[in-house]
Amino acid sequence: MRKNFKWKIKDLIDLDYLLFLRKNTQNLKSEDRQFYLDKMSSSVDFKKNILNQKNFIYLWLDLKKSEIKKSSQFLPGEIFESVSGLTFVLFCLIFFVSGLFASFGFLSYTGSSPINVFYYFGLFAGLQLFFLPFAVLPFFINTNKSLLNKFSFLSPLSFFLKIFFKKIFHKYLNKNNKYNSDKFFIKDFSKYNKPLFWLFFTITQFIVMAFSLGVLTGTVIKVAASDLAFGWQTTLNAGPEYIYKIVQALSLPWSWFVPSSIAAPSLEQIEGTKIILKEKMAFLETADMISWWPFLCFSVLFYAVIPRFFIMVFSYLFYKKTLKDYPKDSSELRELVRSLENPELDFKTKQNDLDNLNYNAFESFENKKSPKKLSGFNKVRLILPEDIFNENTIGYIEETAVKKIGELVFPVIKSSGYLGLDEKDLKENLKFENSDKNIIMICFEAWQPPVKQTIDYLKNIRQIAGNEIEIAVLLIGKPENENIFSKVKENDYNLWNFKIKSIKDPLLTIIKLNSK
Amino acid sequence: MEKNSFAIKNQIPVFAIVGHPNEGKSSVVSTLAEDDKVRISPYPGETVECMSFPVFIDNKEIIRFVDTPGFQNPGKTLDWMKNYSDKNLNILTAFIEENYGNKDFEDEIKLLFPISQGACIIYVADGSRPVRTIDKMEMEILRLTGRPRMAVLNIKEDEKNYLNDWKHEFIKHFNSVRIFNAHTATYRERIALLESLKAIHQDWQDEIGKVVNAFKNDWEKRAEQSAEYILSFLKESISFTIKKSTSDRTKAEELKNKLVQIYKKKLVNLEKQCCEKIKKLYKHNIFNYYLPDYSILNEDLFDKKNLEILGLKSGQLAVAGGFAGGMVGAVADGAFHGISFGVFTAIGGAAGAGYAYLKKNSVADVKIAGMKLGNLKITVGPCKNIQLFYVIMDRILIYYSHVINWAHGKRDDNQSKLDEKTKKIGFSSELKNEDRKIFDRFFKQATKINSSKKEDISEKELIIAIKNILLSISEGSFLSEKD
Repeated sequence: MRKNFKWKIKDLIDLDYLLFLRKNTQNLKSEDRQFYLDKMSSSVDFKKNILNQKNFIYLWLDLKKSEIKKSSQFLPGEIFESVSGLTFVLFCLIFFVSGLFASFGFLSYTGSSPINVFYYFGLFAGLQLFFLPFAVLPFFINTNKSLLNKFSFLSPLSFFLKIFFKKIFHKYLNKNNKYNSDKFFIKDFSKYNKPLFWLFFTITQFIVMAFSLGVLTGTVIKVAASDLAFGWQTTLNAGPEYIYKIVQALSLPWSWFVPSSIAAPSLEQIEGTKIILKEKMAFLETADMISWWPFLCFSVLFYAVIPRFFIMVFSYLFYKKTLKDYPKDSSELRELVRSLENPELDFKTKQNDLDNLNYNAFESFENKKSPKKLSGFNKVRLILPEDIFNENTIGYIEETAVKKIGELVFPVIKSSGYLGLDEKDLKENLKFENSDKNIIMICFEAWQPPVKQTIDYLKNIRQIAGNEIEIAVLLIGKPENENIFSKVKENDYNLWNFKIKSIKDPLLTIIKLNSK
Repeated sequence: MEKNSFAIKNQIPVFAIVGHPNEGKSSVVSTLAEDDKVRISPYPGETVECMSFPVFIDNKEIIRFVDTPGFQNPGKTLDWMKNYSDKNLNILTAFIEENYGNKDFEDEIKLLFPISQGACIIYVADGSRPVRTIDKMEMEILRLTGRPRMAVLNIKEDEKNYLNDWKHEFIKHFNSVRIFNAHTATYRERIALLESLKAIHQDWQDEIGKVVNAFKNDWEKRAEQSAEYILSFLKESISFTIKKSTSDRTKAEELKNKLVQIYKKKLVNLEKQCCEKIKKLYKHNIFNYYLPDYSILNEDLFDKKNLEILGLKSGQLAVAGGFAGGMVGAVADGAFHGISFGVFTAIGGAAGAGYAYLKKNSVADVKIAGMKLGNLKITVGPCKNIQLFYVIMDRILIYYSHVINWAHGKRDDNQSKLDEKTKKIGFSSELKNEDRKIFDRFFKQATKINSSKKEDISEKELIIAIKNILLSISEGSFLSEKD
């Protein structure tokens, strides 16, 4: 069903409430987006309209409200509308009946003295006329300015509304919502002062109009159902001609379409209804006395009912106009729109996989043992990775590592680090007559973490060379200009040490290459 | 390992991140996914099982990254593959079927399995080390798989001598090559890497395009949310006022100092809260996030250094002061750590420009007003110095630039481009004139100094202005625009 996207006070209250509930949602963005995909994007209004932010929020609100209504929950805006509607009707009735009874009371005629038309006019039409400028005043006051906001009755009004709805609202809500609503009503209602003012003003005009209508109805009933006599009197030196002029002037609004005999009493009739206390009623003509009632009824209609009606209509238009500025743009609303409109991007890491990590397995390894001191060997067979295999490197390693423990045997074996490629070479070159005076030195780059292939390679060398021979793993750093190799990092060394120890070979040692 | 755990359902693009142990595969996934929940070990070989990182857009899986264990036995694996001659069965399927349960190939089977199921390959290597035989073996294995593949050079250390060797080697084995430093990658670099995935497999271009768009969209959304946080922080901090009255006039000075301290503390707290929100927004929520050592943010907000290197340049300040017209007052005694924070008397109009130029150190309004019944009312705030406003703004923008670029931060680049004479390193001195005018107006409005409704600037306009600044910071175009 297409919506007209017209905001009312109740919508603003509901919006506030739903935003409040939204804040307490755990997977806020996820839920928003799901709601958008499931409900909003499929709605007719969404498909057929290019929605601006306000209408977009209105649609969200509308669909959210339908969802809540389905679960038989109450919304504060709805309660506000019901309660304010009921109160309004009640007040209208009370004031209408008050008007009715006021006129009944005023028009009670015992036959001893006619009803003074001045009193009637003054009370039911004149007073309204007198207050008319005050009723028009708000239209000329800029409600943006602080005058209305700071000193008007609006603050107590919004406070009263807050308390009032809190009491009523709670009666309708279940326990869970009650908690929420408690906090919700702490929120500031004063931001709605402006529309609330115009709404209150419109309602007031209607109620006042209801009173006048009550008076009018009462008068007509009384005129129709009883015998009334109207007259006038004055202490001032004003003759019937003067009164006639005033009456003619007052009847101008209706005299152009109502026969003049009905619109206002004639000069003769006015003369005939002048009450003179010492002469009593006997001299008054019945026809003259009843000539006043149409004038009085028209006076109430034109000076009390119709002006109020127009003020009411205008204030309602102002109310509607004010509502167009609502809901005011806020970070909360912008965030809601963002959350609804934008696709939700999510990386769902499988936490279980993470928990399975054998994290820091080697950290507990006892790494503090000082490495075995190697010395006194006759021959050192050096195995050097092919990636760094050159004369400079060999010379450097001979100087810095080999000479400290023995004499380098040539040729130096070039290694790929994988037995499948090196097997032949290794088998040919790793033959020893006197194993305890020989040592195999295998060079590895410490920054390359030892993988299974490395460990297998070492195990294979042990198999080829036999169990008696000492094997030393020589760790070197990254190739560098000045020292050829950079210093071996402690972390790298520890890792290699851990891995080498896991082979559990008593004749397998790990050493670091020291710079020159 | 369950054999079918990485089977590609509904042809979702899957990228297996493979490579030698300790080359930063997990870091690449973590950075790509902007997910600091990805556990990265400082020790090699800690990823012993494949880990899936599916990317969901609106709860629908679009692509998936699989972090794999490193190669452990590439020589033997390559031997097996080279000797494989049956053309009827896919080489990977045959390798897995034949060697399933063989301890020698345990890791290779795990890492090759997603590839056998149709995953494309992202080979990660540390470009700061030399190419070795074992790397060539791994690359050759991947070439033999026949799957679309891309190489990523993750430069772990500040060593670039080996890049050409790597590139030379990669050209022989991969469809595309990218340099990507997982520890310093900016948003722009992340997007560029994702974009480049399109080139690996033509059939997946649309899906990857969706992911890239979703990433961009998400980034923009977060920039907008950050702009909201920053605006609210700026507004609150510059309009913050604290009042107290005392009947004992001898204690007025003491109370004034106390209120100034509260004022300072409040501003620092507001800054902290805003930083916290931004940090959370950019998912730095698991591990501690540390600011770089050189960052000005390590200095206290009220440290003199802030005024020297952040905020507007003197000339710009004069314009801002003139624009605001009388928003600053004449200083009676100092504040910024004893430099200013004085009692102000209002001066306005043309004097404002000269004043702002000369007395840029004054910070907040401290008024001592006599009250009825002999009480003294002391008010501190709101911020009356536009320079403090720009310092606050600079600090939060610098924090933002640190956070979006993780531990690295773009400030290095910015600093190197700065004018030596000004020595300003903040963003505000580099703002475009129209942006600065917006913020000048905002300052007036928030502090209610000479503000008229007509000049009021809406929150939306401010959010857009801040968001654009944030986006240009993240895209690295903030300073280049100026240049």
